[in-house]
Formats: sequence, C-alpha cells, structure tokens
Amino acid sequence: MLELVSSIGNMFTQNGAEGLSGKPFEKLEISRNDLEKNRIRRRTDKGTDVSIILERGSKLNHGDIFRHENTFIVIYQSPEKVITVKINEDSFEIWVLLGHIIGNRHRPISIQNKTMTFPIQADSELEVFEKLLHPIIEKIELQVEEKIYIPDQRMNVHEH
Amino acid sequence: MTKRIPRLGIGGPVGSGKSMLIEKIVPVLAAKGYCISIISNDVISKEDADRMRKNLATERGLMPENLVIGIATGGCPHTAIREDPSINISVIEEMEEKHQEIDMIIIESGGDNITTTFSPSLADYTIYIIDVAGGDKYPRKGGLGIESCDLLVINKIDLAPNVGADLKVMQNDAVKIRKEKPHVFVNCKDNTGIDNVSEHIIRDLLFDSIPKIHEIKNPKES
Repeated sequence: MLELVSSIGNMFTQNGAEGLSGKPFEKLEISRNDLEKNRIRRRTDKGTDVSIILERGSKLNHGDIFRHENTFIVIYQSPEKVITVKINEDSFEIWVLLGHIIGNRHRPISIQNKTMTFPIQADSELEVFEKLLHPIIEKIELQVEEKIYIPDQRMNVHEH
Repeated sequence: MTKRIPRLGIGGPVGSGKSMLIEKIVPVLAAKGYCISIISNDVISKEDADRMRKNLATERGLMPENLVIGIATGGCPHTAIREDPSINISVIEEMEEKHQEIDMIIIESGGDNITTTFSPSLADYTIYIIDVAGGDKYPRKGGLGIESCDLLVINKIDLAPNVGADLKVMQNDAVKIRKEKPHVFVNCKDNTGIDNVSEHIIRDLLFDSIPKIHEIKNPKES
C-alpha cells in the first residue's frame, strides 16, 4: 500500500502541468463527496493500492498530484449527473424562486454565465424539478448532463 | 499534536440493527487490540448509548464506560451528522484531546429514510445498514445512504424466508446500484458476516493503525 500525505501540486495549474509533463501517471478516481474526506483507501486505474491521510480541514481536488518515489498519482473526480438551468429572462422573480426551490432541497450550486447547475441522483429528478419550477418553466431551460461537477465553495452543502 | 482518531459513521433506518452491529463488531476489534469509543445520536433518548455501555463496558469490560457517549440531538439526528455536525465534532475533538489511547470512534445515528449520509468532515468511512424485513426491493431503490456509503450491510438475513425476500435479488441489485463498492450480508443474531464487516473496517479505515492491547481500567475507576 502506498501511503500518501500531501499533494505536490495540481495538474490544472501551470506549475503542476509542467511538473507532470511527459511523466507517466496513474489515475485515482474519487467521487465529489469522497474528495472531502481526510482518510481514504482506494485502488488506482493500474490497480495500485493507495491510502491518503490529509490534515483535518483540508480536502482533495480534481487534478491533485501525489508522488511516491517514482510513481505519480493524479486525483480524478468522478463525473456525475447534474441539471443545468439556463435563464432566458433576467428577472428578480426567477432568481428568487430558483434559489428558494433548489436551496430547499439542500443542493450545492454553481453559477456561470446566467446558468445554474446542481447535482441530481437520477434522470427521474428532471420531472420533479420541472414540476417544482412550473411557475417559471417557460422562462428557463433545464438539461440533464453528466460532468465533473465543482460547486461554488460559498454554496457547497451536503445534499440529500 | 493531537492525535487524529479514525472515525466510522454507521447510519440506517430505525430498527435496522445499528446498535446491534456495533455490539457485534466492537468485541471482534477489541480482541484484536483496538480501543473503540462510541457516540450514539438519537432524538431525545440515550437508550441505545446506555444499552451499549452496559453491554460492552459494564458487563463485558471491553471498553471503559466513559468511552460510550449518548447525544440527544433534540431534532432529526441525521441533521447532526450531515448539515450541522458541530455537536459531534466538538465531542470528538474533546475525545482526541483526552483519550490518546482510542484507535477508532464510531458515530451512530438513525435517519428518516434511505437518504441518510454523514458529512465527510465528520466520518472518514461510512456504513449504511438496512434489513431484509423492508423487502428485497430495498437496495435497488437506491438513495444517497445506500449508494454513497463505503460499505452496505444487509442485516437480518435469517428473516428472508419469512418475509418473502430473495437474497439473490438483493445481491444483484446491490452490485448494480453500488457498482464496485462492497456490501455484506449479516445476521447479527448468529454473527454471520460480522468478521467480514470487521475486516472491511480494518482494511479501509484502520489501515495505518497498529493494533495494540490496551489495559482497560476498571470502568468504575474511570
């Protein structure tokens, strides 16, 4: 078992990308929820048995690079299902209702370019949210996607 | 520096066997030299904590009595392990400061349904327990508790013939919905599967802990 305690960088930063350039590495896929754990044991895509123990309060990130002697291991966040809400009309009512309805369901959100994205567990939730958002459904577009989802840290809650 | 003690979260519906599972795995881990502490969350009662303290500490001497703590959350206990786990974290931090001998803290909490989960800031490894009396449809119905836990425990398998539950269906659905994550069939009454659960905990949570035989003080003196 390889014991890892701290990352040496992130592959999505310039320094991290340069440090990893040309070097073979193993992928360690972890769910968004488990990225927040401080103590995990998993297998990489090459079957290497890996444990990670981080300081309390710290967390893993998509792209974090770990090194154990000559072995490089990169954290890959698992893709997950999300609903993306595109706003077609910039109105106070739409934003308040969206915030109220999604917030009441304890979902983390991310906001980008007048779209809001939040995670779901199953495609069937699309129908649920279409009903919940019925009063404004004509003014928004809902779409189910599967992607690596990184919530806005100010609005990262633990959904249920 | 204060020792960081590994934390095991055990959740599941009322009556699924959470406390009984703890009463079964603690003796197995204690026999291997691990010192365990238990925090039991409930709404207004501390009955489960009192029972585990009496059974595991007072009567069997497997742990000091003061390492079994009951928390009456005053509201839905699942909120104290997910949305606002501060009360549990404050108790754990006090334990980490005062009891360096502890190898693992178990946090037990009931939940309203299949969506019970632990905040990753509270638990390092989580078990969700269900029982076959709920019907063999239980695993395939999914829900965050069943899907996201590190180990799914399916209890009371001895009742399957009596309630018309097909364990093969539950097995196939658990694999389908949890993909590569493990599950274990258990009967807490006759210890079926208990060693398997304990091995998962040792392998995936206590991987850096060296089991040591602790000298347990007389609970009356602690």
